[in-house]
Amino acid sequence: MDINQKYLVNPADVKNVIGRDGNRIGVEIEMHIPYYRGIALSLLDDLYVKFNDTVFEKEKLVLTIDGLSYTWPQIETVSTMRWEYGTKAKVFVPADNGFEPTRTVRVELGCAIRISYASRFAQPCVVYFTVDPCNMTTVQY
Amino acid sequence: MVKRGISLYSYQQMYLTGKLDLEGCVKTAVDTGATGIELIYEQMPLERYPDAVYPNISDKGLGRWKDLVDKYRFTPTCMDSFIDVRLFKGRALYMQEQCQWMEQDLKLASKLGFSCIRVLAMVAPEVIERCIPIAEYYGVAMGQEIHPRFVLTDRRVQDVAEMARKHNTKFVGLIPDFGIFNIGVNAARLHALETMGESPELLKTINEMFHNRASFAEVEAYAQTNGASAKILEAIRSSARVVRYSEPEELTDLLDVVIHFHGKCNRIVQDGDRLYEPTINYEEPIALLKKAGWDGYISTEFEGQRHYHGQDCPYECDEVEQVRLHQKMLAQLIGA
Repeated sequence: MDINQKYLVNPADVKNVIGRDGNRIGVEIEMHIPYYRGIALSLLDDLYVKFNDTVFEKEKLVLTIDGLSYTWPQIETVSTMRWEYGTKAKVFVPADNGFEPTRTVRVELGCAIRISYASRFAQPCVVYFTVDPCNMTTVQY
Repeated sequence: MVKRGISLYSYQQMYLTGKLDLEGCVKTAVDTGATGIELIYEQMPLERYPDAVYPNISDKGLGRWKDLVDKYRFTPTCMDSFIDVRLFKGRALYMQEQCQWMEQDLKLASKLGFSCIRVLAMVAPEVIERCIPIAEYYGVAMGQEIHPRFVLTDRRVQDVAEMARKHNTKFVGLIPDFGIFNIGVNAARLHALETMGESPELLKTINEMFHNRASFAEVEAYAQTNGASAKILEAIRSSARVVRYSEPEELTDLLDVVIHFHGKCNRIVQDGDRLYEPTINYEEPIALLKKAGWDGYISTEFEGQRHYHGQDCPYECDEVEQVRLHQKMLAQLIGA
């Protein structure tokens, strides 16, 4: 029973990212918060993305909320800026060349929040979906 | 007099998916005949970046709220406070930090015209006691929620009640959640399992066993020997970890300090004219409140939607209709 699991990521919100030099520098995923309210950013306990068998831990990701970008471990000290409920965050995943238009990619994304009344060790909400690179849009960074 | 309110939390899925904004939630709520509104400010803030960020609010944000109150003529009943003690990795907030957080919520609630805040059941009573002068200053009461696993007879609950009496203050109280009158696996979870293809007969038997006061261990043993799936067994086991039933009459000796109720509901069923929550006892507690002449609000807190949020669940829960039915049920039971 994961709150908002089915609304967490819309697979259509997964885009190849084009860098300033015109190369594909990664993939961007938009996601909602896996909770029923907004939180201070330091409450984010974990975030990871998996493309097929390749795992991208939080230290490799860039999280952008309301146009402001955050990285780990710096985000762990950010207690006055928030990820509001209903605001989509953008997760940048530095996958070389983004998704090539060959076979489909199995995506797994997990996000954990330290909820004060939940178990001592924050449990991630995990979603799984498949992306077809032949039907992806791109975004320019 | 028992009055009807709605916590906008009930419309969380409509809000997330962009079908209702804050004003839409308020309008939908008052359309049911409810006169009180409860708000989780951190869920539906009046402002967000680049304007004021919680716990701050500008005159513009306050104006927006006052316009809603004037337009829809509701009473702001309760604002839900959280106090995230795990704000930083590796340490819990110090008590002084928790008190500061309580203060900022009391201040915000006061600006918005709420008469009380809901303090999470997990917050230490010592924090509440230290904040009494602050609550009195802002004129907003701190109501500690009684939420499963807590039951009415727990030491912790009795201690907070005693604290309120000892200080002779109306700014400390209790907010029981009707989840303490839930029996067994809740109705939305049972229904979600059924929509996912689990045996309706087995689920019905399980629910009947719980209502006949079988223990979780007995129900689990029965389910196991009768071919229950892993999903059903997990529902029983995870419910066993949090669900404990309070006897309604145990409310009687606490009513002097009960300031508000969360009308937790997961699924409302209509059977002809009869409306009921299949696993939560509403009849006896409300009869008791009426008999005692208790004055305050019961806020509908619909929470059934989360049981259909699994990625593999095709069923879309209709929060608006469920809340409307719950309000209708409350009106019947209250008799108003």
